[in-house]
Amino acid sequence: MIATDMVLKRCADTRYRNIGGEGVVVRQTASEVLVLNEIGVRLLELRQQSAR
Amino acid sequence: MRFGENFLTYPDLFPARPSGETWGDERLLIRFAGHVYGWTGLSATQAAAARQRFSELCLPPDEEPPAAVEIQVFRAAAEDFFDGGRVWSFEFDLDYAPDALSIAGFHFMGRLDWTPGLRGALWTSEDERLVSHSIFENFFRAVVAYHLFEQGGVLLHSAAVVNSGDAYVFFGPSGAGKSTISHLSFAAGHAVLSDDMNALRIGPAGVLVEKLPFAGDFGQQCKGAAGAYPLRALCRLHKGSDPTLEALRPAAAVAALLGCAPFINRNPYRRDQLLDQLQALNARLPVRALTFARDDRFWALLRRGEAE
Repeated sequence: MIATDMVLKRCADTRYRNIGGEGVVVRQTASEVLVLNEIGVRLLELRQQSAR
Repeated sequence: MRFGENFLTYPDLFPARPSGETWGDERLLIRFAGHVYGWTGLSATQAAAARQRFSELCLPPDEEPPAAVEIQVFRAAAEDFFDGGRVWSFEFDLDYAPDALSIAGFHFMGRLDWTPGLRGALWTSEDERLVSHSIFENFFRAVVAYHLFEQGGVLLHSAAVVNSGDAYVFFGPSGAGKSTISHLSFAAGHAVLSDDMNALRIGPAGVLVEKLPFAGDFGQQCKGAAGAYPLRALCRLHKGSDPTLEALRPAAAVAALLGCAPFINRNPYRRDQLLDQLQALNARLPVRALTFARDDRFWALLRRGEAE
């Protein structure tokens, strides 16, 4: 569960790519591949914008 | 855990460059999927075992075409390797750099270097058991995976079946059903290229599937089909009670392919290019999710899917 006061941050070992509006996230150290839906992609891109 | 600690007595002494004392003067040229791989520095025992393993793919000694990739074999001391009570292991330790890949495994160390062309070096303490302990083949798989990748292709952990001159590739992690679908297809009269590893190449005319000499238990017995075949269907496998064939969304398709692209998919310096190539592959021929039962009903489903 994500608490309202939790600050989300992308792990340094992740690569992310938007493919057709959905996301593929690769976690290098864990050798893990995740697929994000549109909401996950939006969250990740908002986080990237705020980090700039 | 540091690189090499699973296998090497002195991980810090991992060779920094391809050099050392070779096992012998034997040279072996192995040709498949349109390319020649040149092995040098083998002992007579090692070369004989490799010739037996790759038999019809080995070129006669009087033929000397240029090799696409050269691989040197060097001698290493038995005490350089840490057994930990094992008698064999399929796992590796891998370490990545922008222009090199280091591999430590059971009784071997290997390097791939881009200088700028790809070349390989293998250090081992095994003479008679180089081939029987799969050291030769495991390193060879890594070499082929990177060589194919450099040409815009991908080595896919998959089963490939030829039906009416076209290839059907079924992929997924261990346990997804690659061997099962190979057996079912073979029983239905289709040729199996491999039930473990296949080469996919994107060309101007489409995607070609090429037979590689790397197979699981089933594929080693099935030497019928060879060569390259146009790819007709690319399916992520699932086992189930009733066959279904569904489209996969592009992100899920690329993620599924990524998980089945061994050696490259863990390399942080190659991952962006791998994603590019997998996206291109999925754009050419979209991946579908195939659920199949232990019967051949899935073939009717695939044929219907082609017609749609």
